[in-house]
Amino acid sequence: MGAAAVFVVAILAVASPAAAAAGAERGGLVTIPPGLYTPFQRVKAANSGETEAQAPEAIAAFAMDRAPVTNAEYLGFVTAHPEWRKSWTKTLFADGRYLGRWPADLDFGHAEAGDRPVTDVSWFAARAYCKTRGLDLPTTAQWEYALADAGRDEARVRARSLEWFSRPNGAGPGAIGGPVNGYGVGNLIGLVWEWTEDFNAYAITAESRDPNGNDSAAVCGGAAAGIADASDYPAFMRASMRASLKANYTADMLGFRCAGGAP
Amino acid sequence: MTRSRALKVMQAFAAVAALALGAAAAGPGGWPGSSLYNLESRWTDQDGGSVALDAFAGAPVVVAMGYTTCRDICPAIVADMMWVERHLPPGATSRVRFAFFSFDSEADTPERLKLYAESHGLDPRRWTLLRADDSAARELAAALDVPWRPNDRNGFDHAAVLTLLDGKGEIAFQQRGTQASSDELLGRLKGLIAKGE
Amino acid sequence: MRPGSFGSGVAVVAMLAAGAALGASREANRADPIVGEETAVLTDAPNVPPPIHRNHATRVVVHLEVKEVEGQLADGVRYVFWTFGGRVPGKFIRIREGDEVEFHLDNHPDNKNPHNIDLHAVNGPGGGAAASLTAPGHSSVFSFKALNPGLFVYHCATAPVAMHVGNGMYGMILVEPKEGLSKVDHEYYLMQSDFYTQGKNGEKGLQPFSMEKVIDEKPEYIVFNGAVGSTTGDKALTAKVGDTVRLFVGDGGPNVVSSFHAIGQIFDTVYPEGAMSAPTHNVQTTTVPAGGAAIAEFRMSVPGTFILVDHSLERAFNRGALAQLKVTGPEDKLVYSGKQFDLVYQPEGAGARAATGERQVVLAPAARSKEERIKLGAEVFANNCQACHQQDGQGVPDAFPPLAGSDYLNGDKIRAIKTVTGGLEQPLTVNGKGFNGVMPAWTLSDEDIANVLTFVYSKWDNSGQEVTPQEVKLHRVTAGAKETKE
Ligand code: HEC
Ligand SMILES: [Cu+2]
Repeated sequence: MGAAAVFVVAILAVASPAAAAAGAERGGLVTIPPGLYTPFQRVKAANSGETEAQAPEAIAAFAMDRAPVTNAEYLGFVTAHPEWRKSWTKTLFADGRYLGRWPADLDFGHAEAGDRPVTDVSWFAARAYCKTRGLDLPTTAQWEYALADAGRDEARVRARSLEWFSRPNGAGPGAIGGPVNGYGVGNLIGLVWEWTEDFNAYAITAESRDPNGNDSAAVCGGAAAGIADASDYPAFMRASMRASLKANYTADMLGFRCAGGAP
Repeated sequence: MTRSRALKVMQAFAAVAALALGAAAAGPGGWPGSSLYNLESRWTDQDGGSVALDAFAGAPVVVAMGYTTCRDICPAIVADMMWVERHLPPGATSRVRFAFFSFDSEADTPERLKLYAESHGLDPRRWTLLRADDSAARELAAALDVPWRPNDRNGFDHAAVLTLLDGKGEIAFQQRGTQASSDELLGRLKGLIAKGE
Repeated sequence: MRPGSFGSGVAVVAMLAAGAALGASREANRADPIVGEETAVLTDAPNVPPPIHRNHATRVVVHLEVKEVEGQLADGVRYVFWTFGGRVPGKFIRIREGDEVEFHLDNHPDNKNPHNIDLHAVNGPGGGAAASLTAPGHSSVFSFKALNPGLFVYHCATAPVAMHVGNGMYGMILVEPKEGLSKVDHEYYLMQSDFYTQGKNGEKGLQPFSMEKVIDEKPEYIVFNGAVGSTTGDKALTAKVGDTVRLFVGDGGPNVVSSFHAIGQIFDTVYPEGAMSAPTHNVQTTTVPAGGAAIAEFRMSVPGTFILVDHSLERAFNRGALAQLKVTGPEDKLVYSGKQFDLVYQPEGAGARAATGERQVVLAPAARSKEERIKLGAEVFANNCQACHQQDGQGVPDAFPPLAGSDYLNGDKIRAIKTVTGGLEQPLTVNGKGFNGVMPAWTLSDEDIANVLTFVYSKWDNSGQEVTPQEVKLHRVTAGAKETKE
């Protein structure tokens, strides 16, 4: 790498104020208070037929983007980081559909797309973007905790998710914005799926119907087995979506937002 | 900032960046696009040495992930790798490498890895055990498609995946789950050796 | 085996009935060597790919594309279907036992959701589901050897499974036995399934999926081939007198089991549950379990429109589980006479041929305005008329005449009162189409008849006139039900 790497860092330093400004425009980070979160999937302990109830996890305070990262923001990133432009990126890091809606390396198409979540980005790419902001992708627990919103409006959130699944596919996601939840986070549902840092944490079994998870010759420790609330279809849908992904996959309705430790 | 202004600024950046990085398209080591050796993370081996992934380039390597305090599946993973090692064709024993990457950035110190290698009789001429920070482990697991996560018993839940990389770091074969004899992986490995890798 | 001499019918039945256990053993199929390769022909319902004439196993490449598409569930009712191949039910796949199938599940990049496939024809974890969870814009490949002959359902098995299946993700795969199936004139593909919309049955517009209703197993629609009316009218199945017909019937569920029946046609042979081992004969109604199938074979003896239903009849007449098979050709009066005599049958008292029903008619509350009359009439309609004339008043072609825009109805109010109170059996013409069914006489109270007719007149572009209980009293044919108080 040598000189080239140094140069990238130099550009980064110049570019990041611009990225931060763009972030501020749409509200940037929101602080989420600490609390408890019970994962949707229950875990089967190693060498046991029993499915243990999943213990609630303590979630420390963290910060999270108010909305998914937009095409305009992502353009700033690929401009400063040529290795993430669509014609430069390697298949290890992003499959052939990476930034598929973009007509060219530094062009996301229609001006309105600027406010829309960037999609067709891989986990590697999303993560690299967040790193340039000193952030990470949210963990699945953080993301779900933010959506759970301390139980506020649960029924309506589920109903809106189901409506999203029932909406015809077409032009792609709409613009970010609109109402936020009790934590001040918006657009968690209804626009795009979102990457999480540990998206593959529960993908240990691909056969989602087996209540006992899977055979012990394939997994260590325990496997996701059983679920906390069988009537929460949207949670199933998110779990299945995450389980279907590999880190270099991109999809038309899959975007991301960043998160980090409390500021 | 308006879009057109943003674009101009960005295009300016782009021009400079492209000049500087023109040669980088092929990657630092010129590895194929799907090569694991495009990962830039650094790892520490059981002797405390700093290792980049492409240190394994040039010959086939059998790769797995786990952690040393894992009592159920990891011993079986290592046993599968040892089975492959025992069945290497004569003449290939000095070329093929075996690499075991740990998820456990805290507990699996180089000393611990070394102890593990010794207690399992892993020949240091062929075997490397490695650790890195969480982020690097997560990245490698993602690239190898190994689902994993920390569990609440001080360990990790993870899938058993043995990956055969060719000399350029591309995945030649993956065995999911442990087996009494890893025939298919061995067959692919012999194929690579026959091709001169 | 063309029609002509009706004597041949006996031979045909004998031929269909001859079917003993078909197919080879698992071991034999496993060992059957693969010769050559071909790409599977896939068809949309009601069509079936052509029979297989190969006498050896081959490698069959199947490309099945998952598409989430908006389509019509019923008249004016839109729905976002998740499909195997663009339509509900999914593409029909036809292979031969012993074949090795290389299966490509392609998840279209426009789709939102991950999907997989569980083929009941597969021996292996998840029936393929464990190997085929596929993100949008990706595809999965796996292969299997067809060890067991039969007609099998396939479906998506991605969690939440009832949602994926509830949105239309099922189809069928036929694994033909080595001997092949007997030659017939027509093969058709019919698959029943249940849908759960947020709006009630008939509510127009784009209807979202209802999680609550699927969990409660309370479908709004139960249909054949993915929509109300998918296989009726000019989309009906067709055959000629003397033809042999084979129906590949499936039930995608997710929840409802079918009591599959053809009105006016006995199944000569049924392969229950799609199994090739033990065909049964002379069957009236065959059960098709959710996630299961059946093959029904029969020869058409007489012309007419044969209605295929789930004989749990509320589903057929109110929720959509109704298809038609139209048969043309010469009558055979020996087999079916048609109506020979029309006599008045008068046991004790008048009104015996009236549809009194079992329940005591409770005094209807008197409507105080036309609006109230319409409101009360809607209930009478739902309880008494909708089963035949349908919720949207469109009736069922060739069986029940439309009330919507009916010239017969709108032309003459008094005639309408007489029709409903007296019943109707003569042939009649509604909007240029002939009908010759039986409408029972209704012994509803004057008030109820007035309300239901006012309701009918107020809907579907009808004339909007009001019918009063006084008018009904004056013109009714049969006596009204005894009006009792509870
Ligand atoms: C069992 C099925 C059935 C039910 C229930 C039924 N009808 Fe009918 N209806 C028929 C048939 C069949 C005809 C045509 C009779 C013929 O062909 O002679 C008909 C004809 C009619 C006609 C005249 C033709 C037209 O389309 O305008 C009217 C009006 C009518 N029905 C109203 C009603 C009303 C009101 C009710 C409820 C009180 C009702 N029907 C319930 C089967 C039914
Ligand atoms: Cu599906």
